[in-house]
Amino acid sequence: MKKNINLTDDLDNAFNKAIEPMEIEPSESVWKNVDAGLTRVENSLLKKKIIFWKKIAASISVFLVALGIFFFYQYSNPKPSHQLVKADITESKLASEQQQTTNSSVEKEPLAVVSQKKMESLPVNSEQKEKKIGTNTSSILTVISENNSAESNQKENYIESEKKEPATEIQSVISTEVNTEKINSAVSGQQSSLHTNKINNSKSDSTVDIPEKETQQLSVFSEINHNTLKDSSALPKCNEPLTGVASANPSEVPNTVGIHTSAIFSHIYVEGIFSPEITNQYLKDNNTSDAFSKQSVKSHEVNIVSHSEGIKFGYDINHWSIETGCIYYQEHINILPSTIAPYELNGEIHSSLVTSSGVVDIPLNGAHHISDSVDIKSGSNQVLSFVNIPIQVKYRFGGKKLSFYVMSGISANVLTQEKTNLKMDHDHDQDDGGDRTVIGIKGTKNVFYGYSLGMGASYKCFRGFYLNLEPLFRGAMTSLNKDTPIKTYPNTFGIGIIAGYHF
Amino acid sequence: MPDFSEEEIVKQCLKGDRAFQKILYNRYAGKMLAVCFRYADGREEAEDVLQEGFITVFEKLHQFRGEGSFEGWIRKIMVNKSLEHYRKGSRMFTRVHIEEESNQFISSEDILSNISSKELLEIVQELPPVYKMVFNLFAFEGMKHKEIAEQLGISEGTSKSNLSDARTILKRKVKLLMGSVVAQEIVG
Repeated sequence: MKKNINLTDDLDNAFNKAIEPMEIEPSESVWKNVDAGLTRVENSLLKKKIIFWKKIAASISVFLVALGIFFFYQYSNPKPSHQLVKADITESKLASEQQQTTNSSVEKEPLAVVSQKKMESLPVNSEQKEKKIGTNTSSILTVISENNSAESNQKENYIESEKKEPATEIQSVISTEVNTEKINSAVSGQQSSLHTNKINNSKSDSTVDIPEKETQQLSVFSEINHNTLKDSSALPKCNEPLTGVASANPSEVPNTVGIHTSAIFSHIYVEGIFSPEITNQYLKDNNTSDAFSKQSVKSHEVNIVSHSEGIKFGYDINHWSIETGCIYYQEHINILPSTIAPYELNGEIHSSLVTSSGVVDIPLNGAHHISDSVDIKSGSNQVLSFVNIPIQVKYRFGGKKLSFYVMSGISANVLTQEKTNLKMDHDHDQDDGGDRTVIGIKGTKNVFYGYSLGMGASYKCFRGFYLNLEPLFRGAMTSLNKDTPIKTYPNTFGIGIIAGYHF
Repeated sequence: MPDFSEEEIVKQCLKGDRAFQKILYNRYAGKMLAVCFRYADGREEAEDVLQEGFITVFEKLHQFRGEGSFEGWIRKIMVNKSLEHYRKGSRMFTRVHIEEESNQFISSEDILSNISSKELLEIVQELPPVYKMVFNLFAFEGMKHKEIAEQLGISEGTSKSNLSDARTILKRKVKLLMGSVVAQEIVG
């Protein structure tokens, strides 16, 4: 007897029970379309990946160029600034100084002014009581006084500098070791407008006003001995770069040294590189297949000339440099004509092409049978794209205009794209006219590591710009593939043409 | 072919191994085509939806966190693709005049014992598009009328009314089929 059930929810249940477990076999073309769709998606992802890397490289380039322009203008057109140089001396030391000034007025005190370069070349002790003047790195003026008298123990004196407003003069508060009258005359003689009336010898501070010239980096280290200026001509002219070092004994390192922050940046350089190059694959049997050997694979491939381009930046330490960067390069391999046999996988006919880089899986469009052979025609090729990130050390020698260097380093090579362009037998593959691009090679690693050895000649053109010619050999330390019949170690030789700028 | 675990298949598919992608496809394609078929106008459209659905499955596979069943996750993608197709299609809805059926009673056992699954699927497939969508989402996906209304861009009331109409049509067709079965039995 039939149950009396309302035809509402039970109808839904009946349909659900009947239909839910159903399966309908899709036609074969569905998977082929899915396969083709996935290939399109993969291609698009790879394109995005490449675009991403290009954007990174472009961003780095723009940043470095901007940095270069900034420093270029920073040093070629510094803004005028005026700073206060001040030396604080304790009262007791001041009194001692005044006494010494009186007693040793006949003794002379040398004021040595040396060039900016000399100052930079002097060893710097950060522990010494010294301070760079002002915050504007383009205009630095440091006045240091030191009493070198044996009796006076003035090595603890220090100079404190600070910026003064309005920016029309520089006040230097100098230690009492300075014979103010001598300074006055010396500075006046050099038209330095040292206003010694501001030098206050009675208390802790003495003040000297010095107008600062534009486009100058000024550093004065006054060398004062026995409160007397030995040679006023030693004072720098105000329209010349000033750098002074105070020291009674020239052989002594001054206890106060001005440091230029610019010195750090003056060691940095940036280079753009373009290099035509050729790659030779060193092959090694991996014993994973008896069917393929390095000889059989190599006989079907020919490497052709490609190129690399990128940007490098480095840091100089005397004759040595350390550098890194980002270089994009491609390996081009011509695939010679060959015949391969298809096989069946998951009910589909496939064929694989074993190359030195890895295995290229060639999906066929249904016109093939398992007994057919697939002919790879001439004009087929394989392109592997990498981003090379090196860390290299250079040693430079030679003249200022023309110098030479040798270099060595290690690098990571990031695989960004692997592409095989195949020209196949037209009779077997009528769907697409026989040309096929297969993205992806089975067995390739994402990164392989290598080393580099090179040398080069560098020609300084103008300002910080220079040109290099750099023959470079890049070898592989690890293979670019794994779990493949053949292990491949790419070795590349190129001649880099480099344009660089040294900050 | 070795029987790979679902985890292994997903892992290899994530690496982009085409052979494992094919294995995954073979495992779920039949079930998912049946799902797509219920929503589509015909086999061709159902296969189009299935194809797009599987490409999305492989594209978004990294988003599957292992929460819930993998089959359920794929099914959701297929249903969403079917809804996308429905929204894209210019389906002019013509209101069908549905007369209320006489208050007859019938059991689910009767339906299942007299009518094949294939015939029932065809009945559902023959429903007017919007009725078909509402009925499928309600009876098979377990959605509430509010959700159905949001998905299809109709009001909640319309969803309820469409479901009622869909049931009336289905009931009528079931009766017709059962009647023909009885007639065949008598003739036989």
